[in-house]
Amino acid sequence: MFKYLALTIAIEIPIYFLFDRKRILYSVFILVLANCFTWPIINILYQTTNIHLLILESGVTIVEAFIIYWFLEQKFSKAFFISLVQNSVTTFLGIWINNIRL
Amino acid sequence: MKKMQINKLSVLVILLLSRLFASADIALPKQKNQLDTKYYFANVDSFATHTFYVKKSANDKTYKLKQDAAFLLKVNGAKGDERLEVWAVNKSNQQKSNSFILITVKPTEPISSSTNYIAITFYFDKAGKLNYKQTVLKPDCYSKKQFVPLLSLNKPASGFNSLSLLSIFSFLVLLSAFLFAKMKQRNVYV
Repeated sequence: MFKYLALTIAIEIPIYFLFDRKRILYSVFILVLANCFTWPIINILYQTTNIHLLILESGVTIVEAFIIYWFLEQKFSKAFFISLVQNSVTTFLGIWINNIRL
Repeated sequence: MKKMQINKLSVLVILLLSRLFASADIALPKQKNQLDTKYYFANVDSFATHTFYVKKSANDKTYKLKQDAAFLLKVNGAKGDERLEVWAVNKSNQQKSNSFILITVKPTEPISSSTNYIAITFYFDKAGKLNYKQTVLKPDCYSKKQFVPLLSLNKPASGFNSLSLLSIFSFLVLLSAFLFAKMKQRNVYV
């Protein structure tokens, strides 16, 4: 089950380093924690409710944007953009390759 | 120059990982809405002129139905979702009726057990076609108002419990880090 969490982290962390490469270990630590916080929530909600995946992903994007803004000290607009790119890439590539109907 | 190479390497890593593990943020495949379903055949004895048969997809075996016989259909059986094919045979002329298929169904209550219980009542319509009515049986647990804990530490939510704990733990670490940073900031100003 946690394989998917590891994969999400493995995709999202390199994306962050496209935008910022300061304090690498600290950034990795925060991003891992951010994913460990949001990934279980999105999965529980996705499995147990009828909330649309994209709405759930939007929530995750906002939460991760705040985490990047507070902990990694980015401007909020940049933090939101990074989070949006991270979550868009993982979500839409997954949907596209696995032929998931939205 | 070096920065450009790192950028290209990052893009390459992302693309490779994305291609290999594209289901990442989709995460766990969504569970089906259907539940295991147990069918009871309630009025077999009411039709003295007919014999009823059931073919179970799980083992491709055909069973002669008896009064109050019950068949459990599993959502994820060895051959996928299981189903029952039901038909009747007229005893006098051995003529086979039309058949119908019974499948697993969605939960009948918001909080239900892991199995649906459904009683099947046969009838023949005016054209002599075999038909049925289904009645959802409600086990005792449906009628009682049960306390539903916010975070259950028992099955069947055990899979989600580890997820919940991971999320809570990560949140607490993040919160601690945030508070620690705030305190440190305040000390600098003092």
